[in-house]
Amino acid sequence: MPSLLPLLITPVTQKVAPIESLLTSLLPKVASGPPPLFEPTTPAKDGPECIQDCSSCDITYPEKFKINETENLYGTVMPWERHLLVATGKANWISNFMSEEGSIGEAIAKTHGHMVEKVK
Amino acid sequence: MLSASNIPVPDYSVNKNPDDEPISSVLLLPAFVIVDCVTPSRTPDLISHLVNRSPCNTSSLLPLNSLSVPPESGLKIRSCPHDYLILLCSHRTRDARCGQSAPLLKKEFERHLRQRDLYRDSLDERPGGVGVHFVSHFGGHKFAANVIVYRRTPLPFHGAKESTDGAASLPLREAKQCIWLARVRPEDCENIVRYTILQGKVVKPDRQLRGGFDRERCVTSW
Repeated sequence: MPSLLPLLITPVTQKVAPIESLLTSLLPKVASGPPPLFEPTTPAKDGPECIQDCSSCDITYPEKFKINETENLYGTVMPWERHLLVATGKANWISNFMSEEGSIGEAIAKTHGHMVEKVK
Repeated sequence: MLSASNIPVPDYSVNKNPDDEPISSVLLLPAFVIVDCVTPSRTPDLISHLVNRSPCNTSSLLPLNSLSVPPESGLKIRSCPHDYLILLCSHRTRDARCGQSAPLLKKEFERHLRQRDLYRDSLDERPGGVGVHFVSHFGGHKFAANVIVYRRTPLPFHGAKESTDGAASLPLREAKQCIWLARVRPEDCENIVRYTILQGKVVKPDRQLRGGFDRERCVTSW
């Protein structure tokens, strides 16, 4: 029997599951597992637009734009506590911008190494 | 997490750094605070006075959080002008796909945000709206395009100060949610604006939700 306690009283770092499918949210609230992290849209509540991709969009990715379409996505981010964005005025960063000698990024990474999560 | 962004380096000509070090700003999240006049040698002050004392993703939202920094540090703080942030990984030297997807998504987000007068590019500091920025690699390019959305708490009580020279404390209006999406395509942008940015809802959770946090409900994906 899943806990029926409201989510509000769960611990601060409670991990929650993704929703299993859009339909789950339409079922009576007896489904197992914790509630979703964010509310999913549903046509009943949010209108039919929420299940339709944009029809006026004429931008497409290049044909060779291939990604992993099958692997589970949820929970694949490393925990992070804070996020620092260094203004650089450009986007052509070297592969590891934190290794740029004398830069602010390098100084923050050295002073505060745990800001730098290992990224896949 | 530490990222480089395409946010322009502010013009600090009046505060020219005598040591000829690079000088720029750092946007601190989830505090939604911009720290100005940051240099490599001021980094320890940045960390000890601001970063370490700022709220974090797993701390609960408190209405009275504030930050201050001693004027002698040379650092200044102000509130980020925007209510929402869209961060697009555009690090093409790490993965060609991020270099391809980010400019296309930016264009499409811009189109939908402009219709609602919510678009703010890197130079646009009008209050409110959505800041759309390119950022360096944050992991998971096999799931490109990665899009991180930060959503802030509503406007503070009337009369709250939005900037300070550092001596006075700056009341914070923090991020309440971060929604990290992936496998985002141009045709998803309209509903991401409509539902994710403006309402904090996820349209394709199974396909696109990687994680994030909700500080009002004290939950995270990790």
